Amino acid sequence: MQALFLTLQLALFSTLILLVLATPLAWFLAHKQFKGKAFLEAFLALPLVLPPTVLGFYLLIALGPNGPGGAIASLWGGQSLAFSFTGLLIGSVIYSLPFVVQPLQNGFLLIGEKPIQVAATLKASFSDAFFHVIVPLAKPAYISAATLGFAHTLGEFGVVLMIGGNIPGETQVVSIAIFENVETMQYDQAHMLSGILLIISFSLLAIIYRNRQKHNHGLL
Amino acid sequence: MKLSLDIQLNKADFKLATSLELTWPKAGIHVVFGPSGCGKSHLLRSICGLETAEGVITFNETTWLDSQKNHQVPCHKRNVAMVFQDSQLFPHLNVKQNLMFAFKRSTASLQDLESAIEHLKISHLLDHRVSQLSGGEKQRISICRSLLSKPDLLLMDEPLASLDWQSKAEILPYIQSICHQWQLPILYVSHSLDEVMQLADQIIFMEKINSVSTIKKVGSLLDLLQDIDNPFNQSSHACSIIEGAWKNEPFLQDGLAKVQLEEQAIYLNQNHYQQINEHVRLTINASDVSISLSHALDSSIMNILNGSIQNIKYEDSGQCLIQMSIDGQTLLSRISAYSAKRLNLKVGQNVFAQIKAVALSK
Repeated sequence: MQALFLTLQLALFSTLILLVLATPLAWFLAHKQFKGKAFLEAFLALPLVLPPTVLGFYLLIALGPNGPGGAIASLWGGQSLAFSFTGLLIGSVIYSLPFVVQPLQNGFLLIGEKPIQVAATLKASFSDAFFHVIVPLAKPAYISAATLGFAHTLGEFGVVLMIGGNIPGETQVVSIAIFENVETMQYDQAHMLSGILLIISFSLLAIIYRNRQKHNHGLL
Repeated sequence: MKLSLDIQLNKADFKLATSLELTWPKAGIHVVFGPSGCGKSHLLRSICGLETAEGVITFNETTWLDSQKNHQVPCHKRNVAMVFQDSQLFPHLNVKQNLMFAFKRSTASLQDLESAIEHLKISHLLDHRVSQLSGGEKQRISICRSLLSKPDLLLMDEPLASLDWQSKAEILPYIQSICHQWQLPILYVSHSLDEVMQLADQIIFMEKINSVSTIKKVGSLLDLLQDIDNPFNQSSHACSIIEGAWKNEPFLQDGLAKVQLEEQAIYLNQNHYQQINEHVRLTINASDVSISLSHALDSSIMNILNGSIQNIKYEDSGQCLIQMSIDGQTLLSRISAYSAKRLNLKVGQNVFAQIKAVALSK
């Protein structure tokens, strides 16, 4: 149960951070043309295709004592961000980034820049127009992005194993706990956790597809 | 009210380079006229700041753009409102919320809000969703929304272009009346001659020359219609405006009312009659005017005016446009070149213009 709580906590925080990060990124990608845009998009999409162990390996090095993560950790006297909740959070934000950016980018593309311009002729500044026109118009895209980001973080295994390990209460998420339960032949526990994860994931996907049906927005 | 600009706009597939100086007495409608794709919308978008042009734009005492000094006032601070062709109401807000979006961000008073809603007759639509509205209703609400933003200058980008004729006829009078009631200078883009005829105080002709959009000519409606060489008069829409005043009360027999010019008069159906001595503008299509050398008494045509020929222009189409002076006003007639030659028409000659149809303009 501790693992379940930790997983939900991780997914929630990751999703919140991702929505904040992905909003400007997705707007930028949807409406600005610049050199190397394709490369940036390809780079951001890497987590979609890369084996989680590869991503986890690089993250482990980056978050470890000799990487930038270690430098950050030393600010509060730590040695490394690896094998900590913070490290896990950073990992899942990177891992789930494309799942949040892409629905938002598609949503923004669909809305276009016209509403911002119309709002500007009614004296609304960019940020005013963005929060009062674009965000409400992009609500379906935000619902897709948030559920997808949340669901994807729930199912994370490889990256977590590489950078988080299996510390109960700190880094042991449900997927890892299930793996351990199976290893130690605790099938009852594994059944319960798997069942819960199955139900949550299915419910979230159902939300996305209903949302898509209603608003006819492309997802990925 | 004064707008002056000298700008260049360079886009991948489009170039605009032009200078323009416009003044509005207090209120009034200036129409930017030209064929589709000649850059009218880009001119408007540059004025309100949605396009980043290079050069200088000033409105009254305020400099909106001076690219040499790296000075640019962003669109939302120029206090210019714009009505778009496709109304552009926000779909996530209902009618009232759309209006409030503008109202909350402007200096408009509650009284303005009430009078705008009343003026455009939309109070019964306030709780409707945007998707429930007809095209004409959407455009009325869009106009109302732009008024509530209390702009110093109102730009209208072909606001009637995507409407059917009924909605057009319904909305045109509103545009005329808001201009005066709200004391607004309006810059109106159109490629429709009807709209120009009904609305324009001044006309700004735009054209594409060597793939660069530019302003060819600026003038009053009357100036332009009197110029036999202007692009209007090259078209089949060539027409003249004759000004006079209503005379006669009670009506003449057979339901006729009389518009007095300087010496001669034009007779109209009394349904059109407004008020004695009130000034009236009549539109007469050049193709509705024929010419005879003598006053035909055996003709069914009621309005036959005496005048002299000032100019004759033979056209490639086998027709010719004849400019006459009638009581000091200009009247155009389009007849076949054959007839003109047969009658041996010459500049300075005294002739009779037979007018088949007359329409009231604003």
